[in-house]
Amino acid sequence: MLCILAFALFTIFTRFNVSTDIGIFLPEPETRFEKLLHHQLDNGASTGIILLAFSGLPSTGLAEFNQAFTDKLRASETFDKITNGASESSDEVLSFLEMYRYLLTRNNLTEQFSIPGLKSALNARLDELYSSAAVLEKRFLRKDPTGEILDLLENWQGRVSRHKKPEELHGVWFSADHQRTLVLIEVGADITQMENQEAVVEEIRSTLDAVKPPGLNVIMAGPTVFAVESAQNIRDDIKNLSMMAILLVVLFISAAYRSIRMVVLTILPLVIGVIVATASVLLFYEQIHDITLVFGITLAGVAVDYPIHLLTSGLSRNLKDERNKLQKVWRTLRLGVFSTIIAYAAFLLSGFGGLQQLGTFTIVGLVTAALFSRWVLPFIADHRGPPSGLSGVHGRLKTLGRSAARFRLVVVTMLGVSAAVLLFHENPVLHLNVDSLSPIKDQRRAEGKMLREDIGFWYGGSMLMMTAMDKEDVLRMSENLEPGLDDLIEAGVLEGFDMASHFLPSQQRQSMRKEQLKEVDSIRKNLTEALADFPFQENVFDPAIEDIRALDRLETLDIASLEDTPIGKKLDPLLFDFEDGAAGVILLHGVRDEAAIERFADEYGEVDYMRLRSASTALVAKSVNRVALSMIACITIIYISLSLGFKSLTRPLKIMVPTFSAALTVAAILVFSGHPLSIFHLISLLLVVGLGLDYALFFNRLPENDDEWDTTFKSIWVCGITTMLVFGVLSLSWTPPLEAIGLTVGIGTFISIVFAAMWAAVPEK
Amino acid sequence: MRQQKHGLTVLSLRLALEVREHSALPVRILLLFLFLAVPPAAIADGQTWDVSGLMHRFSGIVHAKLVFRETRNSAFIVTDLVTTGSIEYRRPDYIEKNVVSPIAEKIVIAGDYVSIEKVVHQRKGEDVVQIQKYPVQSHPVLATAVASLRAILDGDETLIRQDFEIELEGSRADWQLNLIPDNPEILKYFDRITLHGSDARIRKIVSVLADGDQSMLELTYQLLQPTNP
Repeated sequence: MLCILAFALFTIFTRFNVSTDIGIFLPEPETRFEKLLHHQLDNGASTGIILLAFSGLPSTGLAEFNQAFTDKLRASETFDKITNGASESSDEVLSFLEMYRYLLTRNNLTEQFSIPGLKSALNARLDELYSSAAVLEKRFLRKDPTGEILDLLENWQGRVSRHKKPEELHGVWFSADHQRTLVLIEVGADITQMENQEAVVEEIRSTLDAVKPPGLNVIMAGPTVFAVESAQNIRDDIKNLSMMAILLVVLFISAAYRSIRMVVLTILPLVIGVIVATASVLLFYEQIHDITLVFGITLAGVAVDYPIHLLTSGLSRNLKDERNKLQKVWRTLRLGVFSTIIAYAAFLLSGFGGLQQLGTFTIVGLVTAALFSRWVLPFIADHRGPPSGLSGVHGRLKTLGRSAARFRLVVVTMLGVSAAVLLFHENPVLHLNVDSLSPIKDQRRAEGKMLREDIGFWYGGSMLMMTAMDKEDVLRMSENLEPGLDDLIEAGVLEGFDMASHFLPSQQRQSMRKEQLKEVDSIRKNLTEALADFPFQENVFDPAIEDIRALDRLETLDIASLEDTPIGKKLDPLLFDFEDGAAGVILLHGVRDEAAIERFADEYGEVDYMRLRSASTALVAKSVNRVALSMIACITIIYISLSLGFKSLTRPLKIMVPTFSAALTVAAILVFSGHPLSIFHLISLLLVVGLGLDYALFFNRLPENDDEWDTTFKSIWVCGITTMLVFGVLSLSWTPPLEAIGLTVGIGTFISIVFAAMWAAVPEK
Repeated sequence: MRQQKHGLTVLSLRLALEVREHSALPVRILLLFLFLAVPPAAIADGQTWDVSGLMHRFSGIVHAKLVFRETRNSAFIVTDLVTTGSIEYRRPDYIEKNVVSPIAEKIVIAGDYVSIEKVVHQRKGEDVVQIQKYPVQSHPVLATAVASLRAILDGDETLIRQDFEIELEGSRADWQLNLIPDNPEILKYFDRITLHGSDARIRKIVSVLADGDQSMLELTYQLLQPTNP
């Protein structure tokens, strides 16, 4: 035992690695589509974007603060780019576009520089000169008679995003209602590691604190911020709630047993179980998810029951008597542990990394705690016989317990009523949205959405995804898709789209553009001829001709060479490594006819239409179904194992009826009160089943003899109250999944005990 | 273990950011402001002939409509660029410049917003009308320009003098009012603005742009509704 413990501690100290990625609570992706979806969900979660909004002051004060804050933050090297208004790096982009316009353009340059093409272009240039609004146009006029730079700019903006550009007041961004001033931060540092994310968020917070005037409200949003917040919340929850739970449990057990030694002995198996469980998860999975840790410790909290049962009912001054009693309690307890473990085995089958971790954690923890309680505890316990404490409460509960059986019918009735509620209530029973897995509060998520809308994020969630051998291949594919998509815009199916090849055409296409401008002399002749109809100065376009002549010497752009340029950063989210090859994303704006896009995607082999929201809902639904299936499987296994244990086909029902009635009743209460069941609720229900089986097993033992009745009954209610204390405390958590678990198990434990008492046979007296 | 992180949603955001306004809106507004300095019409006989007297007249206009003919020269073009259209002012804060020939373009300042409506030639398909709207406060220069404009319409001489030097020359029959910017932001766009008038009417406005191009605006009144005729 000591060796195992030492090894476990060693593993924890050398390998401790906590992750916060919620993707771990989704099933392992199987199809290419699911893998792409996972990639999007995962990478979305760690995107280095932080949005800030300040409100609560008059607009001049807000603008002043915004400027002061961003100036201060810009001094730091941590951030790639901080934007709070006017074009910061636009000159960089403009000169890039100016330099590479003929390689990047989407226009056919042979047409552009034909005589009719030039005539129409010169007409447009002349119109621009007439306008009092054409400053940029004037700037590029001499170099760009065909307007390639302006066209590129138009494409770079995207038709939809332009409408959503934030307004500017006093030189900085504001929301449309002028209540909030906005800042967008792109983090340059590597934020795949949690500690880096925390450092980044901490730096922003401390900068804010340094310059923040009174009365200013700050909203901070973005995946990085949310990840840090939820990690901090969970950490605080672990600290505060576990302190609180331990305190309450210690107080309660000291009251019930009047012995500090008993308290220590009660907690000891749990502590050892948790240490061994943490170590084994680290060994098997290399890292442990923070929710696994919290949830696992809580689930393993059931292990407090084991010493309670053994120490309450199993101890005696007489050594032989004690061995006998311990053996008897152990027989029941063993069955309970076994069936609980079976229940948790459903996690292992669930197919999500997070739940598998959880299953491993709980099973290892419980087995360790049970074995420790049985084989080590009796040797270090003090053998004064059954402890006494809270005897008044015990007496009253005993009276209640004995009369509970009168309400036997309630158990069956509730089984029916709950099933009816679940089947016929109008509230949705299952929470299938991917948000249900998120440790972020709804309100914070809404704030994030608000800021995204303020700043004008792409928020449609509709995209086409394609995979190919390499990035060049993806670029060629998007170029092939482009005319079809243009037709779809024409047909009103969607408003616009962004794709990688808008920003970087394939090498092949760039060479083609070069080819199209090869005959400089004939281009010059065309230009001279076209100019005859226009009042332009004769040599006004000489700089353009110079550039075309120099085009031969301009290297085509490739993806690798663009990595740290503005264009490379734009390409990142649209074009990325995927499995052995590469994948590309085409963002769709303003989709009006999904079926038409579906058909469009079907025509091309390697293209998938993906709606982030419904696709992830499907993924969650898949996992919920899988959990549900595992639950049915484990119920069957429990029944079989109980039948074998009792050597009877009917006796297991005695145990199982109150347990399942309790679980269904909890589910019905949750659904009825407007909490559709998330995966976390389902898992908790599984725990309720595990606990309920325990209670039912022990209640079932009661009639055997009156002496045992007393101690067994006490061990049951002490266990129940301990569990309710632990999970009641958990329901105070700030993290939605933990709150859900606490609520479900807290209520579930209570109902399980009551139902088990009602269903159990009354002792003959 | 993890792959390099990309933010899908970041993309269009970045696009929106970097391409922001290169269109130098303030210039348009300043030009517009010149046209609008126009409504001041009648300079009554017997009144003192000085800047304040002129300003006082400016403040009396409730509603004005004019047609204009603008001649501009440009280093890129051998001939002059001539546009025609109309200007309308309604107290307290509606100002519209409507170009009808040879291109169509309408600029309106109303309340806290400036909007620009123009016909855009699509490479594929038909021409579309594009309307862009900006808050006046969106850029310091724009805000200054609109403030100056409104100062003139209100006859607030002090306010105008914050950004311009004002000179009045010539006789009542042939006067000229020079506005010389001393705000460096405005100097980026304009060297000098001159209003020419004779007796009660402004005949033309000449502005010299910072890049050397010149604009001349000739005006004809269609409607003038002063508060104190």
